[in-house]
Amino acid sequence: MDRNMRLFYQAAQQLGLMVKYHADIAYLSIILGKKNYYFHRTITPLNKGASIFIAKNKYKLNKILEASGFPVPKAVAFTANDYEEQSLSDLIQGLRFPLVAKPMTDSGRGTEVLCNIKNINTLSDHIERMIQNHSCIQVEEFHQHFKEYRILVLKKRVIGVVERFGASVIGDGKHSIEELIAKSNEQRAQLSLTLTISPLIVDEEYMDCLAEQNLTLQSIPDLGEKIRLCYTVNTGRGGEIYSHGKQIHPLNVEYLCRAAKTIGLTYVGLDVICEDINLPFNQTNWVIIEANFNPDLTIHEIPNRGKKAKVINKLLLQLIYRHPFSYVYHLCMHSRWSIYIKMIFCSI
Amino acid sequence: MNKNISIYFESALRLKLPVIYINTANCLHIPLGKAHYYFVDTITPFNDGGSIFLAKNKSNLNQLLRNAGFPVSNWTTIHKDTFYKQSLAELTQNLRFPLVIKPQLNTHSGIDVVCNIKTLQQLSDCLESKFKRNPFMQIEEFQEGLKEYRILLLKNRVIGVVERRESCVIGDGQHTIEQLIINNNQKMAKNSYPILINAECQQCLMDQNLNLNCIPVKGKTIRLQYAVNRAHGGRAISLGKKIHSQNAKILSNITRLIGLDLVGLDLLCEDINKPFSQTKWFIIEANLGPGVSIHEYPDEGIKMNVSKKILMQLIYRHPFAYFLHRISIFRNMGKKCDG
Repeated sequence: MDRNMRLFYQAAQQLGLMVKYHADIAYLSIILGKKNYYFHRTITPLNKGASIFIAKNKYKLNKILEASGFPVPKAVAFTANDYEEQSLSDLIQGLRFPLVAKPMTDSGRGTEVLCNIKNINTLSDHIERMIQNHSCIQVEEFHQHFKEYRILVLKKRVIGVVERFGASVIGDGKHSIEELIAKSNEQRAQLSLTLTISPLIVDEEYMDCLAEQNLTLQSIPDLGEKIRLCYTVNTGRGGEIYSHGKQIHPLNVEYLCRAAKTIGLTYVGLDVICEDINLPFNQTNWVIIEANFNPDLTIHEIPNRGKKAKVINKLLLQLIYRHPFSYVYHLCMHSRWSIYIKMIFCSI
Repeated sequence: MNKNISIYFESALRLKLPVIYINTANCLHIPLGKAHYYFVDTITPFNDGGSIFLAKNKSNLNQLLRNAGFPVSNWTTIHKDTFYKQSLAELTQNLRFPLVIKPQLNTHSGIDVVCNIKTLQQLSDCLESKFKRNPFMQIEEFQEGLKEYRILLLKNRVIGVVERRESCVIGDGQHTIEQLIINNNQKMAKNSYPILINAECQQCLMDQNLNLNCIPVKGKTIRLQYAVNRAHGGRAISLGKKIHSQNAKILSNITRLIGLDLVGLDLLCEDINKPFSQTKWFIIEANLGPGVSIHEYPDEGIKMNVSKKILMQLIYRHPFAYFLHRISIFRNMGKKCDG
């Protein structure tokens, strides 16, 4: 069973919900009243149709948030046909380097995302590769020197704050970066059994990132020197996380809850770039990068660093609030006291 | 503006809902109370995430329905890599020809669907071309001799029944099939789709020992496609809400099982007005984003104003916000008149 689903399954059992795992389709179902709710990996029944499809389409999301006055990166999107028919410099007119290129839809965990692209040739090479698998590409301006956060919003509340960092290694004055990566991967393989952690895989962005620091894989960093390996912060690309629990400036909560509401998502993982999440947004720079309708909950529930935030119970409680009588009835009829409850009802 | 979006837009305007068309995102936005609702193509804000992804994956949906005892055609799903590594005869050994192939995910309007495949060679050729665009293909047994229906259910209640027929032309004893198709496409109604001359059309004619240059006798109906999708030139005959009550109950149980509040169920049966318990029937698909144009503008039959019923659900959720919005419109009109 997927790690997120296992957490949902265990929490649902603890809450006494009628939960069933459908092994042949890898779905979890919770029956409340006459309603069936399904969970699959990180997908929950809390969000509704069209808002999901808007969140899946990064360009639509960017334009809707922009129209509602939220700060978003300046972006363009184009199809494979547009790319064939027009010059790339025309397509990205109005954008300033450095840029980020990513698939417009159906991408997860930072796959095929290239950050900090500094010239049109690098951009063109990356798009050539992406276009093999994706029909629409999004290019947006890259915001450097800020912190990146994943903020989990549920209705009018922030229930989890995680700071995300690009992949890095720490020098010991003896080993080369390549050796340090190999060493780190051995530890990561052990940790990945219980935590959301991925191996460090050297790709184009890793090489660019090192080159910008005048380093190669053979360079030997000094003892304690931290070497950044990647600009993309996703855990799927070797990124690391630090959970701040629910610590966030109250004004920022207001802004982010309003953004979630604007998209129509009840529950969303907003990727935000800002100076500091504990400084008010109205006095600092910030942008919303993405809205994940199916955010990974393990980074909040079982982070490898920082405070654990109990988010799964809060999500399941939302379903219970929709069917309070069915839930109480189910608890009464299926708890160990059910025989006594039935006897009381029979005698009445 | 997409045809379905434009129907929802007009309906929302008639209901005096606060509707905005967002051009840059090509979607409708209805802010009501503190909530924001969106309509993207045929996707509405009524279905839950988990159920959406369950219905999007045809194989998972079939498995869930079969486990619950509902009839689905025998099927298998093949990944592109498996197709090139293993023998197709082995992969399809439990299936009986004729077969139908379709993408397992992200498909609509019958794109990349090929029906009535009769030989292993034909199956292999079709799969090879479809795997260029789709990583997973589903192979199902093709059910012949049954009628195909699209049943629209909202909150487990049937609000539209459409019989879908494959595209055809009627011979006049003078024109070739190709000329009849061209004539038909020139004369077609505003909301209809042209008949396509594609590989499936040629195959369908070949199965009847015909080709595009044959001249059918006067009054003879020539079938041109196996797929009934309107986008392929198929015809939609609306029956309004006419469905056998027992069948409506069974379909309502299906939507409850999948957890979809608004769904277009595609099914094959002898007649939708004969009880399923006494006839042969199969569920083909559950469309999480069903088109409303097929019910509102059918080629024949009763026009059903389903978009209104769908949008009314938003008003039921926010009656006070809707009431306040109507009052504000009334006030603004009053101010304009005073001015």
